[in-house]
Amino acid sequence: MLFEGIGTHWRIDTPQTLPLSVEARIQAAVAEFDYMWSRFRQDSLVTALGREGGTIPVGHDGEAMLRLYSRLYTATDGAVNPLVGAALEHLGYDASYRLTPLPGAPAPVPTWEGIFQGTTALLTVRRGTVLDVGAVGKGRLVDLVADILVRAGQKAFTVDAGGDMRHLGPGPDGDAPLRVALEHPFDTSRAVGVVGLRDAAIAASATNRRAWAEGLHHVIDARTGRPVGDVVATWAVARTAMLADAASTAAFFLPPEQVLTALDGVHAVVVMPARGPLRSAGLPGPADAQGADVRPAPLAYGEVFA
Amino acid sequence: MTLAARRAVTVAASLAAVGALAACGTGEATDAVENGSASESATASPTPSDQASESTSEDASEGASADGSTGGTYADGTYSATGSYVSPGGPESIEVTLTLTSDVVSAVEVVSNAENPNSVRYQGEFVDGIADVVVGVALDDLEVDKVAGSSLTSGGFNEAVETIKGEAGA
Repeated sequence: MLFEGIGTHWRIDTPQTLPLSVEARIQAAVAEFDYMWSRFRQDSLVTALGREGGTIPVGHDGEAMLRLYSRLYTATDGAVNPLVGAALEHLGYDASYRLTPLPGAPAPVPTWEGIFQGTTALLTVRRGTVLDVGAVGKGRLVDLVADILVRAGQKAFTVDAGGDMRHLGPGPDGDAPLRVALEHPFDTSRAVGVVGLRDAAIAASATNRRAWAEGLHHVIDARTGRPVGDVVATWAVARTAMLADAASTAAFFLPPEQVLTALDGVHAVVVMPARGPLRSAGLPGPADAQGADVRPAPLAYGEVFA
Repeated sequence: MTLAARRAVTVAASLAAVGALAACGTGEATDAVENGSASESATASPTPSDQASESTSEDASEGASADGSTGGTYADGTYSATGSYVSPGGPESIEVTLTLTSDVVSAVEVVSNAENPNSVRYQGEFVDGIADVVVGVALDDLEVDKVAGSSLTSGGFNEAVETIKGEAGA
């Protein structure tokens, strides 16, 4: 199944063609998610909330994502914060894709403390707040699609949303894990490593994608309101796609080992700094530790070419 | 031609492409490839496009295969190429030097010849970063099922970036 959703290409691989009813459910879930959470739509919930201000219940997805954001916010000492939307818009990454920074410095990113009440799943924001769930949103949607597939009885699949993916079941060659290349951020024909993926998810983040001018890209340090500069790309393997997505963002601000410590369920993290060799933690991964990857291959599980 | 040799040339061509893109330049490029220690030379004309890197590979292959006695397709030695492009501030160039040892790239050096202040800044950042950048392995050489990366980002964002590049280069 191939389709476009939330600004990226999706590809779902299953042993047999999916029933149309399952495809329809997936399409509906993707559309619904976009309608709730996209700051690029005038008619989305987060756009309306930012325009009006107020308190809303955020639903299951919102609760899962915003709870994780609270963990990220604490772990990164405030660097990861879903309220960076206004700073991104100031820098040019807005709904109209202006891609030209406004003059002057953006207003400081508001603190995340007290914004989301985890116990009641209520989100309270002031008028003008631009919520950006970019650090976890795509991963959450990959997990939602995976849940639809599981509920529909699918035992083996790969959900690939433009390079962030979740896998279940045996790999294409039977018991071997899915072999996933870590794409070189500066040369899409090359890889900086390869990992074996089974019953897990991987996410990638790079600052030269979704970059619109020198030094301007989508990974913002909420403490400064400016894009980060020390790391050019990250990858993370985790139990769920949302966790992998979150870990790949956290890895811009924390050493790989600390990302593993801060987020339960993250198996491995690989970081490409602006200078110096690759750094990683958690490789070889759980599959290797259990002796699961016994396939004779030129590359061992979770190798990085540093 | 071996993969390693093709890889070397591809790196050179993509470096020229990155330099041109970083400066929002247009894709007019003229390069000369020289095989230093083996006294072989060839000319190539990479531009920031796929077609260009193909023509680069072919031309460089002719130059190097004449001296194929070292066991690989490429003689060991130092190869350099100069890429030029037109930035909004005028023509600029960037020089890329690769050292090949047994068909493997053992060193990469990039020298900016930029004079335009903007290009100096863009190329400077590029030049500073490149020597440390992990070269990686060609996907063609890896047996993989999937690729984890961000290159499949699509939609309005990429279109807008292309528009801006087009305007900046015009």
